[in-house]
Amino acid sequence: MLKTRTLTPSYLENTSQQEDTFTKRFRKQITVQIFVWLGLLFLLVFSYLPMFGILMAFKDYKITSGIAGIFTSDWVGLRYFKELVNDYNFPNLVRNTLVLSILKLVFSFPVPIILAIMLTEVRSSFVKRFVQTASYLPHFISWVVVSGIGFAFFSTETGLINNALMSLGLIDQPLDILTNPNSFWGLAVSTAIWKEAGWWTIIFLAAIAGIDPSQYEAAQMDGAGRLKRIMHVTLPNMKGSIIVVLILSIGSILGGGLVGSNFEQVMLFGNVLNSETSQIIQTYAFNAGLAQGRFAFATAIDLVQSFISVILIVSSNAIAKRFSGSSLY
Amino acid sequence: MGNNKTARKPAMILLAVTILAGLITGCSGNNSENSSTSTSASGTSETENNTSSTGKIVELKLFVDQPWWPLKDWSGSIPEEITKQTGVKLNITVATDEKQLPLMIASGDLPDLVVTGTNAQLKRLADPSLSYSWQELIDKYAPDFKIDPQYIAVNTADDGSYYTIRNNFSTSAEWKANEKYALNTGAGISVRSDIMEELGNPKVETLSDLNNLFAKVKDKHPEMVPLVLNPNPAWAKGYFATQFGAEKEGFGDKEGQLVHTLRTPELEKMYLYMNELYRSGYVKAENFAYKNEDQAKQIMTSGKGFAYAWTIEGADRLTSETKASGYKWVQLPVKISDTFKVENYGSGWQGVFISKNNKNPEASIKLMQFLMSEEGQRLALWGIEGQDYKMSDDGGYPVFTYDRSSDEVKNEKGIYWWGLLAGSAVNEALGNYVPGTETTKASQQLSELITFKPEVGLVQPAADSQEEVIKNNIATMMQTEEAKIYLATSEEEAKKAFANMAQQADKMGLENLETWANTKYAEVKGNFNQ
Repeated sequence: MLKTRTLTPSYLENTSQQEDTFTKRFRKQITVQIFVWLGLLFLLVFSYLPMFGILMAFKDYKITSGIAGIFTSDWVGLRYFKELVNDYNFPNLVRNTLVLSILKLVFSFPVPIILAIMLTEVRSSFVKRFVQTASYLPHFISWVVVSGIGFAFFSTETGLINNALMSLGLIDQPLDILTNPNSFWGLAVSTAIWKEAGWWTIIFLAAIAGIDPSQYEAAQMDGAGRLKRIMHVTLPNMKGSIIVVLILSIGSILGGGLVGSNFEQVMLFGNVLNSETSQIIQTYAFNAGLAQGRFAFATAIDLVQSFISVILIVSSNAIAKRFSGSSLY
Repeated sequence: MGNNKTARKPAMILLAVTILAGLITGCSGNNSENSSTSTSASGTSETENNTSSTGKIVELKLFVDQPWWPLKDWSGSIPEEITKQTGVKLNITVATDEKQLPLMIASGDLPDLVVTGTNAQLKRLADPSLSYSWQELIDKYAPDFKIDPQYIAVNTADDGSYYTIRNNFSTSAEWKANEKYALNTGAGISVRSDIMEELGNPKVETLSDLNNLFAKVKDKHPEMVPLVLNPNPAWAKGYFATQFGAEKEGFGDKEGQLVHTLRTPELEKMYLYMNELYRSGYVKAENFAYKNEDQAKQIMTSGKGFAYAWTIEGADRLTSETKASGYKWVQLPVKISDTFKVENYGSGWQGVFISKNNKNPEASIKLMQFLMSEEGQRLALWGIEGQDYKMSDDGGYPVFTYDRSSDEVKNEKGIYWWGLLAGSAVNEALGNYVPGTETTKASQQLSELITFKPEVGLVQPAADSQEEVIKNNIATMMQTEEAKIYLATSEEEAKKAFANMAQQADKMGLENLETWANTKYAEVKGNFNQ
């Protein structure tokens, strides 16, 4: 039997036989096939069909013309792109978007890794469970609530922290954290870490849990201390997960990366006083696009941002592949 | 094991098919709904017709494009009475933010009726593919619905049809006929009366008196904020703009020509004065970070604020809201400067549109006919005669049996706000006339000083036009940049920030906008005088 199969490769089998095998296999896999096709259909409907809307970025589109208007409106070339670049706020928007995103990546990316390693090293299971729960719970709080908490804490008039510091005599003037352009990036990064770091720790804890204990035992036999074991066993074993998460977060860096929500943070914590550092491309697109009903202009802005994101994800993937051998694809 | 597998398979297939069906229906739901509503839109008059013939209540959906709208449903004695009179019951959806309506327009998912007061949306909805022309519906279903030609003139869209009649407008004849009691409203400042008394009720007749007052409050009550500004930029600077004779935004008439406020020295002076208020510590920087009215109002009702820049109704409304704490509020005089000037450019505010998705255009136009009638306006704005109000002895104004300044009572009765769907400026004003109240005293002062120029308000660029883009861009830029003037640390810096703002507006195409506005103004004035 084995011999026959080797001598008659599949491409030499006749068509009816092939069809039989195909139908048979398809029928056998029908349940799985339905799920796969459903997934593909979902992608087609919600991810690919809307891409026709990108045409709007090059057209004189008016919202009253409906979906058909995407195809029937007149072409305007790169008018909206030029308008964006010539906007008086454009350099600020680009700077804020990039700086906020990079700061978040640099400061928030290592936190879940460090937290996961620290949690594994903790012996008391109560402390471990308590810290883990306390750190991932904020993930479930919406940004609207977080901004409300932020206001209750940092307001110069009614904020708990300012009131406490003033009554203790530690400060003479309330700290204007919510309205000072210089404090916005710090506020955004720290609240993002507080909210999301615990959640991402779970992935790294899972990666650590998968490490073969014999590696630790061997390292211990060789005289490796706790720090050496982390450096030479834990971290190398986490490398794969770290790189995948890093690529994903670089791909979505302009949206805020791992800790996400640049947009929500700016909408809620941003105000006219800190707009110098808080306005980003996404909020600009939202305000210009939806508040004024300029969908075509907003599409052009988002297209620019998506283009930058694609470049970032492809290049970070290539770099990861080159230097570590691990990559998304 | 084998049995288990066979039993599981059909269940899995069923689950998959259900998800698939859900996905498909989910995607097509919108279209099918639209097609069914559009079919019924053309055929309803015969089938559903009006209530009077069938006795059935017609339920229509109304979208309110104002996130701050206090009434969230069609309940209370007044809406019930309107339903009784018209056979129409409205199911209300209040916007969560100002972006919701543009999205609904884009998706073609408009409800039966839409009420909006935003210029851009008013212009956008005045489109035959989105809304019914009122004239068309009146000719077909309500030939006895007569509208004053001046109301039609100020609401006619560029295509010659009118798609709504906005509220808060009255003809000069109506104003004249009610000049004793129909008083104007505008921006004002309310102050705590107990603190005024404590300070010996100092006279506030000039801007420097006002400065002195704030200085005394700051000195005697360092824990208080001397002045809180309403987060709405128009109310925040409204009182000061009138003192300097400046327009808050957009164009003003200067000797027959439209001039953008950014080009006027009056606006600069107003900003410099407001910057001085900040530098003197009378206004807090955080005030400019408030995003909704409640944040500012809370400072006042909690007793942390002394003066509140809002409307001339502010004192009565705050007194009513702070009943529990016992604070009382009074209005500062309307005019405290020689350069005071206030011109009313209003040609109406918000309007109801009957969308092309409307299930029953006949009932809709008849509802608007009722709400616009004198009887309908009085019911919706004031209440049931004999029960909620009776006319004064000379028949000039309504005397209310309920606390008119209490938002709580108004919300419970469902009164006043639904009256704004079609209320005239005069009827609104008559409802505000309560002898002896702070609002009425301030309104009387303001009414003597105000001049009307509705034609200026009619100069509005078409939706999605280049002029509209420039106008919106400049308005958005001003909101961000003016904060820099308010919070400048020296007068020099404030002047520089103002010059920078004016320069930015120039770069954004202010000159083109001005040329367009003056051409349009000449055209509007021509039509208006006819």
